[in-house]
Amino acid sequence: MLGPFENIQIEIQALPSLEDVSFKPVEKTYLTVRLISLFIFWAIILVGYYLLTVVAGSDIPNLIQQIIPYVLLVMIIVTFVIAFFGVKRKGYALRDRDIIYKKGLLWKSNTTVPFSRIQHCEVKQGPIARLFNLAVLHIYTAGGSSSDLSIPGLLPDTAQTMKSFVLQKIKSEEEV
Amino acid sequence: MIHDFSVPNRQSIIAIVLIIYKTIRVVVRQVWPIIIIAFLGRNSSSYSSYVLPAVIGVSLLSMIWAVISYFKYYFYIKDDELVIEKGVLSKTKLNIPFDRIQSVNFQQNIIHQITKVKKLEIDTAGSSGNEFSMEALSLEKADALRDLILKRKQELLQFSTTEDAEEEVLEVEEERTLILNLSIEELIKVGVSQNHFRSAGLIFAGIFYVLTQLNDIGLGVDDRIEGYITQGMLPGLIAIVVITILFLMISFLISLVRSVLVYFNLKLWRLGDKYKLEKGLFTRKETTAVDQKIQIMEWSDNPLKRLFNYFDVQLKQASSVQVKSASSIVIPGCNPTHVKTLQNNWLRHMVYQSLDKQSVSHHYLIRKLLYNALFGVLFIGVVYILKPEFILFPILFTVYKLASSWLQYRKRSYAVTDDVLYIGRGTFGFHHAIMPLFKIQSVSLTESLYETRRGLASVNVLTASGSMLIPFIPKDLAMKLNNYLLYSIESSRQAWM
Repeated sequence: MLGPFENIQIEIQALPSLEDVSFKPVEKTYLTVRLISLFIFWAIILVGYYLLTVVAGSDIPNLIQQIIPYVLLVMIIVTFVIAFFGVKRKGYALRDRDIIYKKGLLWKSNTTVPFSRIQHCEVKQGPIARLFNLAVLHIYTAGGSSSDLSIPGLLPDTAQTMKSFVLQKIKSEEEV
Repeated sequence: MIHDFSVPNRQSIIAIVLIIYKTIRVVVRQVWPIIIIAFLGRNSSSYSSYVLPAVIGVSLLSMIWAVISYFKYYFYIKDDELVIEKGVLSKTKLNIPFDRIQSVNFQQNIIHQITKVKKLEIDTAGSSGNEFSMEALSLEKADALRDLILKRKQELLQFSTTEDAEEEVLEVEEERTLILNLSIEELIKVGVSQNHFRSAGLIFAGIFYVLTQLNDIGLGVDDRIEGYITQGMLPGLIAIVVITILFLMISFLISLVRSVLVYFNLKLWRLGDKYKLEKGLFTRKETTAVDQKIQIMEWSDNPLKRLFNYFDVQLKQASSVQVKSASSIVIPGCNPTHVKTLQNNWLRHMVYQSLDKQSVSHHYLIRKLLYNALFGVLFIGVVYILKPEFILFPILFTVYKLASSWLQYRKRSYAVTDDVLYIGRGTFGFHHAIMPLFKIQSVSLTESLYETRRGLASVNVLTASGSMLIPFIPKDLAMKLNNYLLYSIESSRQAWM
């Protein structure tokens, strides 16, 4: 740790690196949860579209009516494929001073939130996730939601343990 | 006069007038087309017979409501908390601990100024965040309350960190330097060099809004306009050019008037460790920003501003809600010396001068060009199929997007020193942002498929008031930067907000 007037030279290479972190993957059952929620999402969209064509079918130009089913089909396939492979990319890691969450298939991202910048955290369970005994850990930071973090696909026990670990870390960071 | 805030206080009696004024304004904004109809009285006699009484009824009710809620509103200070009790039907009690208060700001519109009161706004941060405001407090009461809160807050802060608090508090109170005071001439310059396209957009939106409102109540003008166009009364390109010029002239005037109103007699003070800004002609606004709360400092220009050699400076503060302009202080008309002064005051002994600005990978340009070209081709294609007579518009738009990609790439730069992060960007103007490393909230290392294939990555730096992006840099560099930024946050013990 640096005191206020210490100014040691930092060897960038010697800093703890993201490359050395071993990530823990999210639970495998989370894939099922993702696929079910996607299924429900698309079911609602398709029913909505069907009702639209029934009600206002004659007002929509023929060309567009012919194109839309193909567009929808492509979008459905793409989202399912991304969900299928994307879940495997999701992982998290706790370090001494921060928490890291990685995700993304086409757009990969690794987000690190230092414990000293966390305002509070909580464990949540959605209806579908509850069926499969999974929970989400939400990490809140100050100032809007852009830097908040949520880690899905955790066993409730794991989520609770992580939560108390983070809370204890926040507390000890404050005391120093 | 010494005010006792430990007993329940009421707002100034003027608050009633202001609450009524506010309610009526809201009502009028909602129903103005109906009122117009009612007064025009044409072909709607049955309509107006019940509209007017309804409007008057609502206004009366709101007046009664205002009076009752005024008498049910108390505030007092207890145990280093500001307590507000209010509510007519359901009672609410709000406790705002002093250490959660981010800033206390004043606002005065014309009614406030005549009646010598101030509107008090209290900004808090935190995830549960809220803002509180008191409609009207007498001038000295408002000042006394703010001073009390800020002083006590400072003391609390000092007690928790160091012992010799008293001394510093006193020292802080004494310094008071005027950094900037806009003269009329500078004010005109600021007005002239505003972004007129934005005002044009606003007018356009305004006209559109009025038209739809009128349409809704059956005074449609769409058909008439359509009629002119089909009859060929507005022949093509010449008409468009004339309208555009007219439009820009009006926009120019409006933004000029607007800046004069908003920035009239702007004064920026440095008071100890905070900035105080006063501005406005009819509505005099007073805002403060404490160094510790300021997360990012930005200064930007456009070609016109560069001609006048000045920048708009923005001090972004941590805010509970999504980053809004309300939580950041905008100071127009700062010349380079002012910018330097502001930086010096805020960053103090940090290393931030002589930044070694790095540019981003040329793939950033290529990706932008590819993306805009693809989008442009689609756009042109769709217009060609649907409305081939307007083909010029998407072509010009695409050319503009391609040209601005080049400009944006040229202006993208970043620099990291031991203490600060700098990001430069912009299209026609330059936009600079600087922040101390220890104020970063979290760091995100991202790569798109395009970046992965070329061994590149982006670093997104998230703060309590918005994010700063370093796009398209070599992957190993991005990784190092990620590690370094995290190290800087985690090894810092300074309070960051």
